Amino acid sequence: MTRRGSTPFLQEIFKAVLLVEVSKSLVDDTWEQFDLPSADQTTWEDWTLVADGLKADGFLRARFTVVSEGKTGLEAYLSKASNPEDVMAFGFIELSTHVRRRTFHKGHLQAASSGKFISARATFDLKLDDVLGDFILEPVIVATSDLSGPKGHVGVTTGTIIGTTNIIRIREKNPEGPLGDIFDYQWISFVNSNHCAEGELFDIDLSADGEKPVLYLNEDIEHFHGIMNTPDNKTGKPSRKLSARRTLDSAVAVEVMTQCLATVSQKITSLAAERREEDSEEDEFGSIFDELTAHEQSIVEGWRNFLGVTHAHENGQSVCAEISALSPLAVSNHLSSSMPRWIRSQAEIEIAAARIINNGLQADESEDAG
Amino acid sequence: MSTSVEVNRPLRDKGEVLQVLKGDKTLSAIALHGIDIKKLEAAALKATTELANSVALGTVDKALAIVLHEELAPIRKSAPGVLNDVVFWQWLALNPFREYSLARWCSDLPLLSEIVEPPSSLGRLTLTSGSVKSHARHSVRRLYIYAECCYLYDGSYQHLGKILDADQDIPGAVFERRLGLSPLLAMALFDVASQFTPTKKTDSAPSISARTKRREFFKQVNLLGSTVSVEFLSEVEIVKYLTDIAADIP
Repeated sequence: MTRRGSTPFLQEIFKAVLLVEVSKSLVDDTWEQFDLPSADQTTWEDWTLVADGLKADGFLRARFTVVSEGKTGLEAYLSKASNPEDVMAFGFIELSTHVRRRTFHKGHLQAASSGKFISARATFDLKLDDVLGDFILEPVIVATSDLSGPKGHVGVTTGTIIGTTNIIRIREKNPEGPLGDIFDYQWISFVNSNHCAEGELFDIDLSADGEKPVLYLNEDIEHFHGIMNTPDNKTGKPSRKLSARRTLDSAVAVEVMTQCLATVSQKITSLAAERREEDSEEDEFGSIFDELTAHEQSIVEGWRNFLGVTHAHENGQSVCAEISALSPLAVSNHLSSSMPRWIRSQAEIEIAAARIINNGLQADESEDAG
Repeated sequence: MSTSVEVNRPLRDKGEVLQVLKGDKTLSAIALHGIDIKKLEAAALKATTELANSVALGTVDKALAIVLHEELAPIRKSAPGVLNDVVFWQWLALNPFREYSLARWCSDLPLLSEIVEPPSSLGRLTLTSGSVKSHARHSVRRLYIYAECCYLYDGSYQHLGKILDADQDIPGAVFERRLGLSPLLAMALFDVASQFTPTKKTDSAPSISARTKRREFFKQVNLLGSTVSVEFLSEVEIVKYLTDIAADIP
């Protein structure tokens, strides 16, 4: 059987920069530049923008221009002196599951440096009020006809994506981010609570009604509140209390992440099992991401490279697909061993723990000396 | 004395749907943005009666989908964000469309007082934000999605029958995946996928059902979508890809 749109021999992640402009008018052609961190770099991370933040500053529209100049890696598809637009096109795939849109917006390609390079440019104008939920723009280069690869290699059919770069993700609200952005924090007495276990440091409610899941911290644990509220000025030699706070920060963060990721991975595997039960031949599990609650999605997206067995996931869909394809034993091993180790290594928990043990030893030594 | 709790947030699961049906919870009234709720209630009541009289499901759903899509036009114009609001759809399903939703999807439900474990069919009355699968399975939202797809395709509802009279496998494969986000692609998929016929058993080969062939077809289409930008293709190019794939299904 023929596999249409086969993965091309030449498929490139080409370098590009993003220019973001914003306007306070819906009609005038007056724009001001908006500085987006890492807009001048091409990495695995998305270019992410939050519409509500811009709207709060009085902006009504945003304009996204992606420019790629220099080698794209796709030049081998062109014969000498040919116009790249004869065989390929550059543009944005616009995708939103919230407003149900999936369309293509064409940009421009042209030969540069006497045909040595292809330069690409595409612009997309967006009314910020039109952003509901997540809105994705993926800059791609596609084949506009059947293309032959270099001699001896597989060619591609019309519409095949032969080049891609960073995805632009515009969120209505709720930015993804580190632990600090993902949760609402509440200090409560676990003794007086009917849903938290007495003696635990924290509890997590992933089904909370608000915009974020809630991380409950136990105010009954002696000194816990005092230590966690120690100001961290991040300069100079830290006091023992601040060292303790930093260590607790790391320890709690690791435990919270491990617990949350275990919960969502179990949900993912259970949804995958349901799908296999309905259709034994089911093999597309990326869309399980869409079945998760908003809080679970936020965790999967924000910590996708901790949740995944591999660490270069572009989005929540890809990590859901990976987890769903694992055997129950592999999931269990990942949750109990490799994932916590990876989280700890990233959070530098071992280093932090060593620091506080050293502090304790120094204290003992000084007391002995005294 | 009523002990019900008012809910103005998305219902978490089918258990909460059951609580609403039992009257333990009520849903907050929503802003109607100029829609004629009486007309919607009348259409839902007519549909419920027709279901009781064993009128074909496709016929009942088609008429209701058109009224729903037409009556929500003011919202599309003035407050499109409402159509993205899970609370709006759950309210529609559990208030004006309650009897229709129950008759259409939960006709085998025992007496509410006897239900302890909520059946999975109640999941048809709840929604997950941004989930194409959840939206395509919701008792009311699905009708709107089908009508909207046809309307965006050619400005009419003439192709609604293609969706609502098709084998249930096809709307599931199209609208419970991102394939249904493009009206052009969705319509082409219905045209090609509905043409599969079963192959009879022979001495050398077993029989193959049309459903089995369609599943293989959609598997190949999803593979295609992983490397080809179907958004870029013209209708002619999409149809050619799909018919070529269908021709390869044994």
